[in-house]
Amino acid sequence: MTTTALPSSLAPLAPSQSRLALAQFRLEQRSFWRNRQAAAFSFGMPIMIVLLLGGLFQDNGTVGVGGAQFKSYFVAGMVGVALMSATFVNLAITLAFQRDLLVLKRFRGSPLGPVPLFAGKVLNGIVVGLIEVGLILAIGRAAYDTPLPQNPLPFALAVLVGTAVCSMGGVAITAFIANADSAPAVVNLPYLALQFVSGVFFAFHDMVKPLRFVGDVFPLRWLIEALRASYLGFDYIHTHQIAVQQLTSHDGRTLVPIIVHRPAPVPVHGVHAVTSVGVAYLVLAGWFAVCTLVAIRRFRWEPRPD
Amino acid sequence: MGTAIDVEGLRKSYGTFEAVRGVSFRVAAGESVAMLGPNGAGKSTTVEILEGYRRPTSGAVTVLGHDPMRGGVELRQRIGIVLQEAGFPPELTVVELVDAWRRYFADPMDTDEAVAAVGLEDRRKVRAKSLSGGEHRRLDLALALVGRPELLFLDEPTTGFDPSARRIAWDLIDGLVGRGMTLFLTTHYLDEAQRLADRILIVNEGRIVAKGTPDEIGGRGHAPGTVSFAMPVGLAAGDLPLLPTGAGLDVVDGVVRVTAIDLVRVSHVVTSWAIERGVDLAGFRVARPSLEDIYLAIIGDGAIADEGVPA
Repeated sequence: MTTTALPSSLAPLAPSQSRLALAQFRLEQRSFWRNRQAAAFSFGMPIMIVLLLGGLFQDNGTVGVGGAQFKSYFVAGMVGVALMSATFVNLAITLAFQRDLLVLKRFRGSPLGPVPLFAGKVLNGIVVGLIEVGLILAIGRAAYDTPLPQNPLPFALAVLVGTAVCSMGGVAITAFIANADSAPAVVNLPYLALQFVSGVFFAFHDMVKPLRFVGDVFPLRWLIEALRASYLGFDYIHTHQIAVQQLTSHDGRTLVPIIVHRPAPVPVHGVHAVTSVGVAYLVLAGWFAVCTLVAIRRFRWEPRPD
Repeated sequence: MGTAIDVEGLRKSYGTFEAVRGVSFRVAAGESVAMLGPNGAGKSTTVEILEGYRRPTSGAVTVLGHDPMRGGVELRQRIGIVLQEAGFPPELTVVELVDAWRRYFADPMDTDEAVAAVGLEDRRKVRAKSLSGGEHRRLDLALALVGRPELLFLDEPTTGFDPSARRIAWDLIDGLVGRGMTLFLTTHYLDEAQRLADRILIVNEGRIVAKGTPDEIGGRGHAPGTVSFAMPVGLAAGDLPLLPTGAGLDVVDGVVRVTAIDLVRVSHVVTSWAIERGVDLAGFRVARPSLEDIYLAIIGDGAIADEGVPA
């Protein structure tokens, strides 16, 4: 071919990974918004829930004694749900479909390479997620008078980490999806179940112990913890720890705290607040590592042979 | 000329089933080679190993100097792949997909050039999900060609094409091979192999059972052919000229059929005789054994009967 005849300094260069990732991101964006049904589900669902339940929770009073309003507590939780929907759900279903349609196989035979391919897909999830978070915060503020994030930088960090963990989770779970038909079912199970055990619709520390235990194992509860702490201000931690203390005395018994390193019925200082968010990031990092490992070892580019 | 593909003792098993059972061949740079065989002969498995999709169970495979599993971007920049079956992101249009693909390569064709080359100019803005089967296949070809590959893999490329689309695709591929591209294709269409390939490998049950040029394969160059014509009115077998030794003669329903290796000599004898006698040889025809005759003789009639509907 002509390229071999050129001196190497004149030979055209293959495009860089970052340019490829950006080009892939643009393709993913187009695909995402053009598939109205999928966009409506993964994008519109969390917004709809905020609109509907926000109204329901508007007069639910406060969580604990710190004065955090339940509707604000709920909006922070929905930010976590929206991130999971935009990244985890969206990515896993898209990948399962593209695997079945042999689109992934086609990409694999091209010079695109897996890194720009996945970078483009994850970037798409992040952008969709950020738009959703913006809309949820705006709707909360406009319709239900909920606050904007009190500590914007830690909030942004939590959003970023959340998209990273949920994206990797979305790639990892495709290893357990048999085919495109079963993808929505497989993906919605953790998506819906985790919403209920992670303290989105109910105050986490008011839930029964087994549910709290399940919630503690999975990353959504911790993502929401990090989001909520920065959204409400660190005083929120103060609030819910006092809440736990109250529950304890109300019962007449001392509840064994689920998270051992956070003894509940103690006077609360800033240190505890930081620790709680720190634990959240540790758990999220652990999940990120596990999901990365599963994604690398178990990811399939082609459908399972019959 | 360098070697584009080198395959030595290739075997591939899926569980207890051995799809490829010791295949060796070489494709020179600039050459076009067709792997011809019935479904399940191991064609797709072989080509997917060459494309880097499958790991051989044993044997050595080199493509443009690389192990195809490890060649990475460097190798993929230089090859084009038309898979037997592959999808597109359904919501993207023809032009968007070609344009996306051209960005992966160092020295690609223009988007319009690639779209026009496969005859999809009128379908530029159509989303992939709305393309017909034939159009889908042509877009496959556009994506495989847009990077100006040195080596093109085609796995049953024109299955589902109408005859004119087929001719367009063949002319396009033939032109590229003429300009130095190497081609490796699998097909179960004999005419496709004959039209596109310098050399044919016939495979059956995971083994190469015959190889050679389309004209020579399976002893086709030396196999007896036939000279046939209608017996002129008023003449009988006894009036025919003396045929060269070794030529067989039969006359059935007024059709004379001479079977011989040296068809030139037989033709000469027959036509000279006709001119001398002043008779017309209606339906005069000289025929070499067709590739199909050879193929059927090698594979067996049962194999081609299964071929009716492409998978």
